[in-house]
Amino acid sequence: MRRVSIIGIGTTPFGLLENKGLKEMGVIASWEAIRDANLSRDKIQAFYVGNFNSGMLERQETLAPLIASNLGLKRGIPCTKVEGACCSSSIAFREAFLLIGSGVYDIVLVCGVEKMTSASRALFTAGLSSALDKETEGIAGLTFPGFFAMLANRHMHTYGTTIEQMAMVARKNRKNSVVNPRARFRNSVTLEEILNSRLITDPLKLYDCCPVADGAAAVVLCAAEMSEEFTDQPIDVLGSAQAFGYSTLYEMNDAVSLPATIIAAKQAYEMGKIGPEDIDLIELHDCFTIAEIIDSEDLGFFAKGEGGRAVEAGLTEVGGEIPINPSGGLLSKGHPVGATGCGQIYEVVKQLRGDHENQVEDAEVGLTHNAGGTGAVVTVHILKKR
Amino acid sequence: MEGLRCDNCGKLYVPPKYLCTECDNGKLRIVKLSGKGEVFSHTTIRVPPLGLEDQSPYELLLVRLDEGINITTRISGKKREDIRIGDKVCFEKKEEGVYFFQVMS
Repeated sequence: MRRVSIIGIGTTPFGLLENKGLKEMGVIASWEAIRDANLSRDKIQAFYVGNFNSGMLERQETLAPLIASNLGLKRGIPCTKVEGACCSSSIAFREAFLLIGSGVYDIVLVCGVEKMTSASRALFTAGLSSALDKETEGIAGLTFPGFFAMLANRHMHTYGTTIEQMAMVARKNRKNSVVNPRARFRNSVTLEEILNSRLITDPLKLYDCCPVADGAAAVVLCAAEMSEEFTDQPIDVLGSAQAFGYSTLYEMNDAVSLPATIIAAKQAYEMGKIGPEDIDLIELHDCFTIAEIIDSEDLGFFAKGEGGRAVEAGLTEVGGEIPINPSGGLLSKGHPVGATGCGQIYEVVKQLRGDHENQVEDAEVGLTHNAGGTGAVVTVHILKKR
Repeated sequence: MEGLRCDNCGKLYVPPKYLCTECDNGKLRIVKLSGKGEVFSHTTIRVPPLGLEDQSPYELLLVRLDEGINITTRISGKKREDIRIGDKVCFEKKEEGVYFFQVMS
């Protein structure tokens, strides 16, 4: 496999983008990435779109050729939509990585996009729930907060993780996104406000849960050997992995881990010939506060059960040993589901270029972790500044 | 309470299941389960999905059956505030694909 690099990134803000639909957001983010790569559009040989729920929420499918047409990509190139719940656009990124790495293409554009805020709460909740196993836990009334609440109760019981430690994750990520113009939330919240917020699904409260959002993010990938034609700041993909896990809670033997994260992380580290100790910053899948704690353990940054204590000790702050979610993460930047995968890559690329509003000092190697639904599908990517 | 057991490798499943996912040569046969277990985890859903608004808030349990496999279930009987991991439970019914367990005590 030859080396693959990122030569351009683009994005919309994530949040309530009232007048912007799927096509427009996809075009804005993609065009910015193409310009960032100093690329002419006709050089793009394939286009991948990551999206989860456009059919249910916006009654719009078949997004990839639609956005390609509106973007002015070279007529005829293959345009493909990828779906893997919250993991959609990082899977799309991986598809591009594999095709370039194996020599099929030299330059591929990837875009993640989601429109959620035009739908009623009942509709987007139903949309999100479609990532569960409808035949078993869907009909029983499980929801995503419910799934992670079950993990939280089990993690607290087994390891002594506390509600306060979970609240500290929310406080940290809200504080991190204050300076991030792409984030849905730009104001901090106190620990007290978090702990006093209303219960969503015991023990998870309002601030333990990520918000829905609209948004799009895009990345241009290129064979490393050609990348310097387009950018003087290429970011190399050191590791890329994708694993499938469980679509249900009840089939997981324990409820304190997402097994697909452990598998994907191991594969990505092996590919990159690198370990957790070499990672300077992480953007991981904090769909809920407990998810950040569990992910940080499953990715190998802390021993199983120690993730809560690590947050409490300040280890995961921007200035700490293991900076996690300096962008604000899903909790605070927001989670336009299909866009999140590329959104995380966007944030890490900015960090590695030394250009982030909440900069981690001397960032050279970053990791993104994206988990679809119940951890049914997980990707891990490791990026390095050349 | 009914389960499914592979007649080749013996692996046990809670239905629905269409194939033994452990071995190549088995068929799944219906077996009787004890219906007994304990609470492995639990939560109270306060923001319900479409269709369950009138039942909210409601408890969901992740039960570890005595046979060593798990099942996600609603509780029958009145709403409880005091469910704990380890509480003993037993199967009451399966209605339209949804399992209902009773918390003993």
